[in-house]
Formats: sequence, structure tokens, C-alpha cells
Amino acid sequence: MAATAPSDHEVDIVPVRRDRSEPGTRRRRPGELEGDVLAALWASPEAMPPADVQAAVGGDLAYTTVMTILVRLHGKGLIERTKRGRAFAYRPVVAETEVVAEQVRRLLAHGNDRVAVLQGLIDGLRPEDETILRAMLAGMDGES
Amino acid sequence: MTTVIYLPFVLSIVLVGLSRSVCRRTSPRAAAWSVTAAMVLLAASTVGALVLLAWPLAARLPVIAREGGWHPSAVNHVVPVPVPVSILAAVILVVLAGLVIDQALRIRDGVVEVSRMHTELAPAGGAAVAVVQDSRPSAHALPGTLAHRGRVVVSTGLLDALDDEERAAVLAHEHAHLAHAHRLFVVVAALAAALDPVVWWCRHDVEFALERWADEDAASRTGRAVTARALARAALAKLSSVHQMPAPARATALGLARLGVAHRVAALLEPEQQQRRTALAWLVAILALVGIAAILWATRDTERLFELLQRH
Repeated sequence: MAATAPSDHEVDIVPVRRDRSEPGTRRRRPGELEGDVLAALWASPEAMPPADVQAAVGGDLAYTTVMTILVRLHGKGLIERTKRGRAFAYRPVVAETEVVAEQVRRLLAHGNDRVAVLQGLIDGLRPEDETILRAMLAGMDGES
Repeated sequence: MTTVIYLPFVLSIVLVGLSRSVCRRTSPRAAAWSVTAAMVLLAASTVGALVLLAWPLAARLPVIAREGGWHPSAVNHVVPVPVPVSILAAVILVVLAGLVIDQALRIRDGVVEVSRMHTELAPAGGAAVAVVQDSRPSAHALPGTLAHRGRVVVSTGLLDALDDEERAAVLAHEHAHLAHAHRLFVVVAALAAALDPVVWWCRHDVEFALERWADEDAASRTGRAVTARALARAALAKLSSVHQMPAPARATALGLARLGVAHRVAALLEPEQQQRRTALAWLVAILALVGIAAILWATRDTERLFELLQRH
């Protein structure tokens, strides 16, 4: 339950600063690492060598751990790799498809109206939310 | 027995009153677990209470009385439940059976639709993320089935509205839905709501808690500010695409929610410490346990009534 509970699956490599909840120093649950690595790859505009992935995911991970995860993800077909110099560079396999039938589009557009099918990321909007959301965006750092 | 047996109904109403606060103010993971579990336990105790209230009706039937070894008229002397209450409970049980069947069929339809989507997406290969050519912004976690692994489906309309960091946040959000089997919470909550229509109103709160859970998961990977920005941008993109739709289509496109995207963005803009509270979630769990205890108590009393009947 508690995110800070020690896990048997991970080896303590560096003393973890438990009092800080900074991303990257937090203990991860098993399986979460794969998601983090995928997210890092997704965030990058181009293929990443393992060292870059390691840097993007967080300082508490050993290079070998990152390699293991990359190899595992590659084995699952979730990422693809290309030779770059002596190492491989990785990027997520993302299927872009135009063959998707109208059915899928219809379901995506109305994901919420059938029980137990799908709930979309941004379902639950009211037209009047527009003003609130604009104000929130304006208040955020990094607003371009 | 007479008072305690009505407790599950009262507790169901209390849960509805509490669930919105719980889902808004406590850690979303704790909220989703506690409210869903409370819905299930209270639904079970409500059905138990209705059965206990309805059975004297059956006990008055000569066939059953003969089997049980008592006289039908003895029921009037021994059982403290008035006949109209028993009839009402029996009618409600029949209606609930209908609702459960209806909900089960809807869930089956949902599974069929999910399978169909997996099949339609198959030509795109087995990638974890499928991008659909659609200018309407959308992102969904398509749950896994026996034949297919769960995958994330995003539209080009959404990707175009976001920068790379924000896309990563969206991916992490949808990945969290799949990794934590959020669809199961929704299905279980829907079935509980069919058994106990009073807690129907909690369903949207559970769905909100699940979205918040996925938001927090994404935030722990990509940062709170980035996740908040991604959500706000995606929502604005969707609103502007909805403006172009004909009026009747707008309502379904926006989706129903007691608490919506704006609340989620606001929650992400709060510091993380604010999201860690679990006290209310425990309160809900205790509420549900009281409901179960009440039914166990009432069941024991009912067993005693049987003994009394047979001695009468």
C-alpha cells in the first residue's frame, strides 16, 4: 500500500533520500520501471542510447538495470532499436494507423456512454470549464 | 433485529454523502479502493437485509411451513417484520435481480466492444501505443482481454495539441490505468450499484478517483506541473473540437462527471502532501464493515426466530 514500503525486488544501490519525494529518488514498485523507461523514450523526439535513458529516468538506477529493462521491453516488442556507433539507440514502437475503421473512432469519441468500456483522459468536461482551464494554464510555469 | 436490519440502507445513503469528499480529498488510490470496497460490502449487506426482511413471506406459505415444521399462522406471532415491509422487500429483490442481469449484459457488451477494438487495431501491430488518425482529441486505455494485451489508444488530434513532455504524461496516465487494472474497479462498482441502487451515485466518484490515481501516477513520473499542463491543454483542445460539433452530439462528447477535468488539474497544482490523506478512506471502510456486522447480527437473530417458530 504505502509507496515507501521496501521492496524485495530492488537492490539498494545508493542510500535513498527517503524524506525527499523528488522523482527519480523515490523507490519504485516492480514493473513501474518499465513504464518509466517507456515514458522517457516517448518523451524524447529521437531514439535514445541507454545512457540518456538512464539520465532521463533518474539517478538511482544502475546502467545495467536500465539495459536489462531496455532488453526486456525490446523482447516484448514495445520498443525498437537501431545501431548507433557502438551502442544501440532505442525508441518506442508506436503504431500509427490509418486503417482503423470508423468503429474505433466512434468508440473513442463516445467512450463514456457505455458501462465498463472506456473512459477517456478528458471525459468529464463542462463548456464553462474553458475559462477555468485557461486561467490555470496561464498561472502555470512554462506557459508559452 | 428490527432496527439493525435497516442499517445497510442508511449506511448506503451515508456512503453517497461521503464518497464525493473522499474521492476529492484523500489519496486517490485509497479513495478508489475504499469506496469500491464499501460499495461492494454495502451492496452485499443491503441484499442480505432485503432477504431477511422478505423471508417471512415465504415462511407463511403452507408448503414451506410444512417443510420447516411450523404452522403458517405462527409466523405472525413470532416474526416482528410487518407483512407490507416483507412484500416491499420481495418486490425490490425482484427489481434488483433485473438490474443485475441488465448490468451484466452491458458489461458483456463492453467486453465485446473492447475485443472488437483490439481486432480493428490489430493491423497496427502489437505496439503498446496505437495512434489513430482522428482530429478529435482523445486518449484511452484499452483494457487487455484473454486474446490481447492492453494498449493505449491516442488520436492524432490529441498528440498535435501537446508537446513531447506532455505526451509522455498522457502516456504515463493511460499506462497507469492498465497497470492498476482500473477497468475492474469500474466493473465491480457498476455491479455493486446494480445490487444497491442507492450507491449508484458513488460510481462517478470512483471513476474520478481512478482518473486522479492515474494522474498522480503520471505526475510521479513526468512531474506535477507537466501533467497538469498536459491535462489542461488536452481538455481545451477537446472543448474547441466539441464547439464544432452539432449541439446534440456535444453532451455525449463531454461525458458525465460529478467532478471533472478542471478539478483534476487543480489537484495536480496542489503540493503532493495534500494528496496523501487517508483518514476519510478509513472512515468509509469502517462504515462498510458496520454494514456487514449489522447483517451478521440480523442473520443470527433470524436463526433464533426459526427455532422459536419450530417450538411454537
